[in-house]
Amino acid sequence: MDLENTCTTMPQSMWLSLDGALSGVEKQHFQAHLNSCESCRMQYAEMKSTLDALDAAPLHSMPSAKVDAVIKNVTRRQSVAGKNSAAGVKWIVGAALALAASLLLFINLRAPEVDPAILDWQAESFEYALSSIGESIAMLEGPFGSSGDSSFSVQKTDYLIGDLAVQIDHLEAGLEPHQPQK
Amino acid sequence: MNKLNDTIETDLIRQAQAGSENAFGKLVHMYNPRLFSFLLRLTGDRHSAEDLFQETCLKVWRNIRSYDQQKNFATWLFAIAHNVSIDALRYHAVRKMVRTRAVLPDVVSGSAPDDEMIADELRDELDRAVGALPEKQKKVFVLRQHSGMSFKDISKLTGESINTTISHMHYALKKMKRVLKREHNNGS
Repeated sequence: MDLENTCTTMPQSMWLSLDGALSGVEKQHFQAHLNSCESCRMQYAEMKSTLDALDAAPLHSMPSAKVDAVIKNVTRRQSVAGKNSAAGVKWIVGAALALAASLLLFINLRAPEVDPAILDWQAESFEYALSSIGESIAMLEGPFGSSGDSSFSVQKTDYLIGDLAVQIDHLEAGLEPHQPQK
Repeated sequence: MNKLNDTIETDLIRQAQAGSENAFGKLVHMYNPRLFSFLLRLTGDRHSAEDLFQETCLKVWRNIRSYDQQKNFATWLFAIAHNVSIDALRYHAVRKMVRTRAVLPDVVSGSAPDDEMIADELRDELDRAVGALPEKQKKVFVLRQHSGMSFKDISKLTGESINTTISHMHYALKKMKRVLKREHNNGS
């Protein structure tokens, strides 16, 4: 085996070795090279000690009270949302789609008067909202819907309706100065 | 993680899958430092990290019944956290979530003892170093460091080859080594 070439490829092998992802033969070659190459041996030792130091370094934590609030919020949202019927979900999706269609029409009718920068931002947000509604509908039609676990779509679609309403408000605010004078 | 913790974690997951909110809460507390550090270092913003923490917990709670116990829980959890973060960053949803964020209680922290202050300094220094990494290196580094995912799993998640993923980690670690050395020299 060519020593220089092996030294060049050793970093990859070192990481794979740390992952336990080397095969039996690869492991033998790796170990044989380490035994014969002081430079790679030192590099490997340094790599491991750096990783150990990083592992020992302190981490951030969310304060316990905040974590408790998150847990409460998450489990409460799930149980409240779970009480909504499938019919309710479909109504919400319908309402969201109607809002989305209105907004699309609104943009198409008034777009020439809008500052292009505002329009870009609104369009991006709008696209995101639409794709998320599509995702909610897909989930309703998928395994979540059929198993009756529609809470995700209820919560998310509910949020998106609120978000679309905000988008309309922002768009209106952005358009106001451009209204033609009567 | 040691065997006792593994057993505790497995029990908690099983109970959470059966609907125990208490077990789910314990799991969240158990993963708090790793998950929150991951989100904070990925986004570089505390409020965004808190929002994404909640969003990740919501998805975990909602989908925990579909988690396959034969697979590594940390890998599953951090894959969710990664996807939540990427979606949010991609669509500027962090800004929107801040607007609709649930009000969480603030905690007033007391003065820290000297050793805690030194630890905080190192942590902050590492935060800055991670924040200065190019995006791809940063993503691989925080995934590897906080989730303990294999390069194979990280490459599946990011869509890059294993060799490229390893290269990102290798260069990121070199930079971290410089930070640790500097801290060590300042401390001695």
